Amino acid sequence: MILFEKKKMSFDSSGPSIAGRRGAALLGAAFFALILAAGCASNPRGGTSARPEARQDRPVDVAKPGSGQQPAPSIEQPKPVPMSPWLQAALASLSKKDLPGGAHLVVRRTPGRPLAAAELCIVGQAGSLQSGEDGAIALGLALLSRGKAGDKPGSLVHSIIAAGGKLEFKELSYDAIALELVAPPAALPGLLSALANALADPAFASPSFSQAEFDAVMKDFRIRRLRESRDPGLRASDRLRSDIYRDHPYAGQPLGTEESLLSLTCAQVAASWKARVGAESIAISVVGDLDAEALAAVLAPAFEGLGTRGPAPVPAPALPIKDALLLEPMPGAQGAYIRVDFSAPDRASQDYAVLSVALAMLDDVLMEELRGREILAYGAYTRLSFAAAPSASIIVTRAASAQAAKAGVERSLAIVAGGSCLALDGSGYAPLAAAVGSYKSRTLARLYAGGESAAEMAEYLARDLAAGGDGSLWFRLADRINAVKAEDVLRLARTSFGSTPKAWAIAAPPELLAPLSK
Amino acid sequence: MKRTILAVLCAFALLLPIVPLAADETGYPGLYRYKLDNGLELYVYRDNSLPIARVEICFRAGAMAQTPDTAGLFHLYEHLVFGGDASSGGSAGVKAALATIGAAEWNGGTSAERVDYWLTLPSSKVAEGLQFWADRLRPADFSPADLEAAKSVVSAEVKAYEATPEAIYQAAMDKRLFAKYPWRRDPAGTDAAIKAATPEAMATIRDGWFIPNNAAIIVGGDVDPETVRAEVASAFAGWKPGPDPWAKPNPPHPRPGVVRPTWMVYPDTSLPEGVALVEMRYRAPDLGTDPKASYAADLWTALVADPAGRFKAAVMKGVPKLYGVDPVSAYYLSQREGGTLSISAYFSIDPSLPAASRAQVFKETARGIEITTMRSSPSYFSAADYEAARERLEGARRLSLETASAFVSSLAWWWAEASGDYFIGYDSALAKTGPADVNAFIDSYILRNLEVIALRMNPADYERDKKGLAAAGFATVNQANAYWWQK
Repeated sequence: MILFEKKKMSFDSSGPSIAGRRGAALLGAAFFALILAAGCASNPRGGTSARPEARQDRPVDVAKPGSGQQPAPSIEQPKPVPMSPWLQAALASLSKKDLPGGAHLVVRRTPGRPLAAAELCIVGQAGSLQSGEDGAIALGLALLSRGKAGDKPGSLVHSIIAAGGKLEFKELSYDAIALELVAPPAALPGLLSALANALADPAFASPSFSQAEFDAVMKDFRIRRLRESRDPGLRASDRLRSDIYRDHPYAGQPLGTEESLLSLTCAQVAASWKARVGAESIAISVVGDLDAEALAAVLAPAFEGLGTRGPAPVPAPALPIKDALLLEPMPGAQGAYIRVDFSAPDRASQDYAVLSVALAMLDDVLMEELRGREILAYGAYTRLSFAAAPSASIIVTRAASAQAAKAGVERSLAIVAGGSCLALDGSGYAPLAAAVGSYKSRTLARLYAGGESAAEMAEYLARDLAAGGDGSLWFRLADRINAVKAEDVLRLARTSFGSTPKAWAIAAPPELLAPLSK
Repeated sequence: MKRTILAVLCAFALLLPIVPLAADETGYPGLYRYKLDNGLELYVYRDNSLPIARVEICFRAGAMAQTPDTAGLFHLYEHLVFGGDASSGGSAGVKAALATIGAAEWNGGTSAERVDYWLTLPSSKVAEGLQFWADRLRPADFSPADLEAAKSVVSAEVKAYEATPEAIYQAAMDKRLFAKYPWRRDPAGTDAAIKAATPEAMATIRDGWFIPNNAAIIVGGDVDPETVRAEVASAFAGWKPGPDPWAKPNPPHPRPGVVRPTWMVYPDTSLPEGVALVEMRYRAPDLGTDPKASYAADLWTALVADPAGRFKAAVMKGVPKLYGVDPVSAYYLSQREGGTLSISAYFSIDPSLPAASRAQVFKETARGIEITTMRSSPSYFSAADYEAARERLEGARRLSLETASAFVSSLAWWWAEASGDYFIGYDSALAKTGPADVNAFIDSYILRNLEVIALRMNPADYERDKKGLAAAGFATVNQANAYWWQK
């Protein structure tokens, strides 16, 4: 139900792709691109959700190391699953290399593909920032697009454009921020090496770096933050973060606030960068027709120069999410935005795959309850985070009545928790066991569809690295989804959709919140 | 035995309508093209990297087929296809059918010049996916209950859409640039038309435009082209063609789109305080009537997109306090009959520099000086600049066609806006496009053209500047006056 002119798919002279909500094109025209993207309707029916997500709005990670709060018990320990030929081939295409100083490199070789992609990630910084440093590391990462000290201003960006590539800043999760580079395989190693060289000796730390260059990048960053503050999804996410996860280091503002960005100077960014960014906090994922050994050799000198700044970051442990109802008034918002978070099983467990199938069932029930007989909302879907401490989310957009939509979500949860889902003969609801095969197919197709491009695949690898994995989780999930059994879905739906505590955050105009605050 | 013979004959009959073209005749690696004798075009793109496929069906329809009285009905029709009917169990039946075939994502879209439907599913289920669309798109009567339900959904969707800043701004632009037939650019249409729709009116739309000889199916992914060909034949061969809805082309939208340079300002809540956008927008080449100029338009926008190039440097030098790393953009929107060219820049609000004069300086610098100089000076762009621009276009095309899904989506776009031949022959046509074509494009579509000059600025910034803007002739746009059906 998309209702207007899409941006045409190719031949866009502005170069960079449309920046995502959590990303910004760094090759120019970023803000314009954001505005073009702003008009695109979300998809009320299209199922884009229950796959382990590559594009979530502010994933909520929980648990503070040493906070005294215990991790959520894993519902089920990992089970050995026979490896399919597809998985065997996929794992054979994956190489992990250790770079000097503890940086990690994972390469997936894809022979014959015309494009390659890399994610250059900084992992585990969010919790360590001091007051006033919010946004400093992220801004520093974005400033790497200006190259290393001594480079001609803009030369790196021009090289990327000339190669037919693109560069974007991304917030992968609270664990990781990244620069995403896409280029033909022949050009990518050189461009990635140039970015890596800038890590140790960035142009922005040089006394000759112009204030105008700093201001330009900072302004793009600040604009993005300002726009986010008007996004009900991010407002709800921020509210969950500040109220439910406030003891967690990720409750900080790694991308900065309007105020912190305004007060940050180039010298402060350079000082934070020097103090905090070491090889141990860098993870690189690459997908393309490239040799891992050769790539590691190209990148190694940069990391020898960078050195280490401290111990390797520790992935966040899980933390049970508590029951809560948080109301975020947003005068003028278009209807109510509802987000419901609850703890998900450990990513390495078979139950993580089971939950992804159960969420696919819940998607259809949500749409039936919220847009079936009566139109209660524009869209409703689920998400499953790929982070170290995973959570699942239910999202409802543009609800005319927050109260009615909340009730619709509760009904939906109860239906699946009670062992039913949409009947495959269209007759309403039926026991879910008969539909498990179809929903496994859907979940698998979503998984694959989410990793079609080199950049999407590189992002999955990077998310796994950032969460302490070896980059293979996305591939392993396919086999795990295939192994899901109906009884597991029944069991997990009962607990996850039933008894597991849920934190609700609702961003809406005050008049829509009023009935809920009584 | 009789049944077997009958089955064989039926299968043979189903296959007869297919007129396959050899794969290499498309000239595009991995792309196969066929045509059924009911006029339905089929493109199959083979990419075996993942066990999924995208099935998309596209119609040359949408707003460009509307009249003032039917504005919004193509979008309504698009919804009815998903709305279900009694035999399939209503919309729950559609969801169930999609779940059964493992569809990962699906949707429909209505825009100014096309209506399309797509889904992504396991490649083992492509036949079922094709049958799903065949079942939904085959002529059927619309029950009053289904129609009323769809009207309610569409009306609410349109109202929400029309309140968004982007919709308001684009509508105000179209109202000026396409003033003679603005409803042909507005798929949302009017609430009155939607509410007045009858089953008979919807059947007229279905029978007039949603016919195989006005459609293309594009399938991409881990598929075998010959198998897909047979599956399409099986699912769609019984679909009856109708009179070509485009046998008599639409009267063209006039160019220039305006009779004099037209100034407007939109107080835009989506923009933060302190930043504004200035845009010049022109009617640009239409793929339906001037495809040759479209290649030149693409090449020109790629030339001026060079962040280190002369054009951007001159604009950034000539217009004070532009905003961000690379604030100047040029964009050509390829359309069958509604092409537009946009040249824009972001700037910082500065109380000492009135926004109206900033917009005027932008126009004077970009068009009055640089583009005029560009036209008169053969050395403005060097051969190396042309080479780099072609490489940028090639890079952008490579990015946009990287995956099977993106390829299918792109091809559907180009098929609807131009043709499959345009898509397949693009690289070759672009290679033949050079400075003379670019100069002809600049003459016809910029220097001999007239533009709408628009400012978008935060309402607080607008309030501080509104007297000056009004005095300079900027019309203020808001939700109550942006749409063509309003005064």
